[in-house]
Amino acid sequence: MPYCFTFNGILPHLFNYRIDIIMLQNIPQFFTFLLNGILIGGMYSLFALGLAVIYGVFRVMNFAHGEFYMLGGYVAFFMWSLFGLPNLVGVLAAVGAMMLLGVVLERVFVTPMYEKGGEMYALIITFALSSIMWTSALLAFGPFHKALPYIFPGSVEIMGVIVGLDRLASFTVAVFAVAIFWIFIYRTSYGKAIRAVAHDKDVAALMGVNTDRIQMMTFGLAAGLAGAAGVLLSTTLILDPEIGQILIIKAFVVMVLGGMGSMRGALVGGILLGVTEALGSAYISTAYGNTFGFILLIVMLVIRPSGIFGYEMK
Amino acid sequence: MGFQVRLIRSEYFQTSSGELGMEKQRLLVTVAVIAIIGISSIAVVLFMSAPTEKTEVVIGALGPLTGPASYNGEEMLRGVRVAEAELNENGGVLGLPVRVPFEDTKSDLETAIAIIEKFKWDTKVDGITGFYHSGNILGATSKISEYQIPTVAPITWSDSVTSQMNDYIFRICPTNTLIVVAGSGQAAVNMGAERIAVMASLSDFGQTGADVFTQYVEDAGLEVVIRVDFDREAITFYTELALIQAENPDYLHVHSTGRSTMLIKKQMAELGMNFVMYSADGIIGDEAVVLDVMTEDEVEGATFATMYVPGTNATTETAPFVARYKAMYGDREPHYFALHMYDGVMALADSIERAGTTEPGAVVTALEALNLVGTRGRMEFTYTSANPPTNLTDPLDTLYWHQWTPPIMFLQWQVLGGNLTKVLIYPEALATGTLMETWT
Amino acid sequence: MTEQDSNTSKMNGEVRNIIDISRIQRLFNRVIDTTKTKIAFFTLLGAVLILAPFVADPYALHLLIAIFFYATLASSWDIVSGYTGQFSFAHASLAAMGAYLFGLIAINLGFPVPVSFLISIGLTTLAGTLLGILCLRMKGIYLSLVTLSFAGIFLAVVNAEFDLTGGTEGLPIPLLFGTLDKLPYYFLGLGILVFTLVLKQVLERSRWGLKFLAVREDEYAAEIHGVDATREKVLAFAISTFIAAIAGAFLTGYIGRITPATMDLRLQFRIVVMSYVGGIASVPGAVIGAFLMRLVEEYARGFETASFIVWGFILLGVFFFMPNGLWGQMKEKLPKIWKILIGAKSE
Repeated sequence: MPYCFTFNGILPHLFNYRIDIIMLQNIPQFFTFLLNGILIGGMYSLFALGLAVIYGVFRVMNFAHGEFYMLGGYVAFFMWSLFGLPNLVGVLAAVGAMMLLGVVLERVFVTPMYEKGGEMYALIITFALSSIMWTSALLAFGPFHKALPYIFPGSVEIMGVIVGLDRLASFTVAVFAVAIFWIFIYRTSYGKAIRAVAHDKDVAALMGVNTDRIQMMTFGLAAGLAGAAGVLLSTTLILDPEIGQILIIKAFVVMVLGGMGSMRGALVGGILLGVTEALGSAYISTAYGNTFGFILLIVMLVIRPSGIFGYEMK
Repeated sequence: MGFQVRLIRSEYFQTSSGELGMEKQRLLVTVAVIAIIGISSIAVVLFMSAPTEKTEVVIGALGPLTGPASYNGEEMLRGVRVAEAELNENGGVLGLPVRVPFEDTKSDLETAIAIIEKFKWDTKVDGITGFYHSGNILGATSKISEYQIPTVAPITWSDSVTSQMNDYIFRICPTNTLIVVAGSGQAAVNMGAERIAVMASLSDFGQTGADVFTQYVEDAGLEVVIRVDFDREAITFYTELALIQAENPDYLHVHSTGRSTMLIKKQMAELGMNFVMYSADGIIGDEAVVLDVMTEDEVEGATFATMYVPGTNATTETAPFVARYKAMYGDREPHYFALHMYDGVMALADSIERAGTTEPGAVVTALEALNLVGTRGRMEFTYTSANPPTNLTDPLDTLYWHQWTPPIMFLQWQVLGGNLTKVLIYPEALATGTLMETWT
Repeated sequence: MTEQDSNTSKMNGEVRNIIDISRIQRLFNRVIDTTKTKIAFFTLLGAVLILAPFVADPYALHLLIAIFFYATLASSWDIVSGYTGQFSFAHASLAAMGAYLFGLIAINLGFPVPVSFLISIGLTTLAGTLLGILCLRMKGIYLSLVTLSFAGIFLAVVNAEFDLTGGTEGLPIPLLFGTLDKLPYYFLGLGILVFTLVLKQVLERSRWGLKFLAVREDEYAAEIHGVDATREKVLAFAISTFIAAIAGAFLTGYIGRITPATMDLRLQFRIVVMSYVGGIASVPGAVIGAFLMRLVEEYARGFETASFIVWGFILLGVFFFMPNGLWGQMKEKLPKIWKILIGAKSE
């Protein structure tokens, strides 16, 4: 007997048919979803910020960015498990190590390839680097999962709204990291040079900016930010060699939501993605939890192809 | 612009005959000579590779070394290596040395098929063990039948792997249905859970398992208050857990593997949800792994099904295997996937030895009569061609075709006297404690 | 000999003593483009390809069939990404869509296999065209990300709607010829690949090919010169989806099953890499790349967990030393080899 294509038959898992949930009867629960969406979104922002800066300067989608996240997490994990150092030291170590690695990879692979073949070539190169990096991590650290200890374990409940303390703490640290980065970009001469190169490389070079050094610095900084995100997120999430590949896709979505290469956009886009995923999972369907970001992206690009803030890096 | 391109092209089209005649001839001759040499050498290589005398027994193994299930693939590889070393130390099979090549499927079906073809024609295997993703073995089933390769599947859980009653495929692990019927459903019923929440990953393992579990506990008169399906690549479960917490359950059944199982337990602890979390994936019972992810307080209350508990010896084979594993790898206790694969290689080696030949029909007959002490129990198959299932319409009956289910144990992490301990709660005969329903 | 030809030889005579690569290049191009050489080459290649399945063992035959699939899919990606420069991430998913629709129509609606094959290709082409229209206003990286999202959503639907698609366990697909014998699949795959290459060649030589290239080089400039960039992009997307759907339905009709992991983002990257290794925006590039990289994958598997490192370094090596891909490099270097072959004296 032929299959009957009813709506329910085609996509039976699209909706959580929970009418009491849909009717928003539980207001504290709504705020729980919202708050946690914002907190996790802040982490996405921190991670995607580096990606946005790289895109601004290089016009390259950096597929190896997730690997900086993963390796940064491992650096902090080994600082903790081998030397018993706390996460805050781990963050600094991870940022330092990833900046170094970022600079080396940029010098040896990304810029030479970019100059040889353009953006798409550089994209494929970052993908090849990503493969090499996660496989090396798989060989070196083993396939099993790791996580960093909580800074503040447990959660608090205020008027029915539940929030994990550690997420709050990580979010705060992330805000600090973004603030420092922001000051660097907007208040120092190096930051000005980065913005100049992002705006127009050739003109910046004519104005006496050493574009080579700026590119190196940008890539290093972005890798450092990803490493910091890796440490901060690995307390609530899990670290394994292939986690970077899940996060990189999310980061691309964030970057487009805000506008390619826009730093403000990356911040807003991250929180938008976090909230969309949390509310979408709760009120529409948990099975499609990871898709809401994609749907939002398509809708956004159809309505406003340049993202929330459009392309800007002034 | 287009004009220019066409002008350049028109130059290509010019044919000149006089000036280049010599060169053309030379080119043609060179190409022809190279082609003839190439074709004849291929032909020679193909025809010269005539069947030679057997110098070794080859058992092919395959599994995912990279991709989302790599943490299981690594253990599978180790299990295989241990079995290979042990067989060769004990004089091999049929007096010949044993070789067990391990190929990485990358979770990809086309690669898996290529591996089967390679095993058949290039490696010339006498049996296959491994697979991990049910989709891969189901996709390769017709190839296995066509090439008549005796296959022991030690890890694939989909019911249809055996219930389609293939002559060459044997299985020595539980199935999605059997693990519920054999215990996890029963455990929930025994505990007297009243409000059960179910979480399932979007995979054949998660979905079938959760469906059968729901059916089972509802038949027993219990209530499933919420069912949450999630993507295997989900990394944050706050929303899902908040939805569950709002229903106030006293038992959470999680049918998922690896990363998501750990994340759920970790985030449950973060949210202060202190009721039983049952996981069908035994990885959460592995101290070395779980304590890298969670603190002792966070692990407490996690209940899991497993076929191997470090420190316990199910059979006389278990301790030697663990000793050999530690001697070869040394870093940690084996996870049960290593035991599965070890048993798979051993079952094939034993059958080939008993058959006295590597001829597929004889090996399959020997496999059907398998009666071997493995690391998890005595392996023998319920239904074989000599003893076929009586009721072919009953899916539960055909499920036992070429199927051996190792004893499944249920354990719980409990903090006893300040120390984190694993308490065996099922089967009752071996139980070292009782299920702790809630804690502070 | 035409007048123009004699002019050229006069010019050649004037610079006879200067050994200059561009001239040898021209010489080479002229020889390689002569009809006789072409006929000889293609006859030989055709003979080898037709005879191969009768001498090769089934393992090699399977690899060849798989290579036909990868080459076809990479070629289809090349039409939209190599020629028009719109980096698409959706092609693996479009191939998967063709495969899933093929299986669903054949099993659930009970249509005969060839009919379901054609219907599924038609429907997928429609979906691909709609996707192309959706991307109308988008350029460059935005289009890439919309296609990436499409791939993500498609995979999520396949995974979540397991009642329909079988989820991760996969969907059984009827065998195209109802047999496991590889010969008919080999020739069908070869036919599909040849069809794709001829289509690409025709496109490249036609005004569409030029328009596609114009869109890639500079969309604005192309529009100023009267090329409707949007229409060309949608057209490229439609043609390319059509081929991707055929490829997807073909591979699964040969294997007899599809699982979501078989055609996910990793496959997408594999075909991108194949195209780049072979050389993008060229007819034979994708085929060369698919052939080479599939064999590299097969070889690198021997390194167990480290296989991706080997694969990655081979990729990096190819990119560093041959930035235009193998075919680009061959076009550049072959004249030199040719020079040695015929002896520099005859210049």
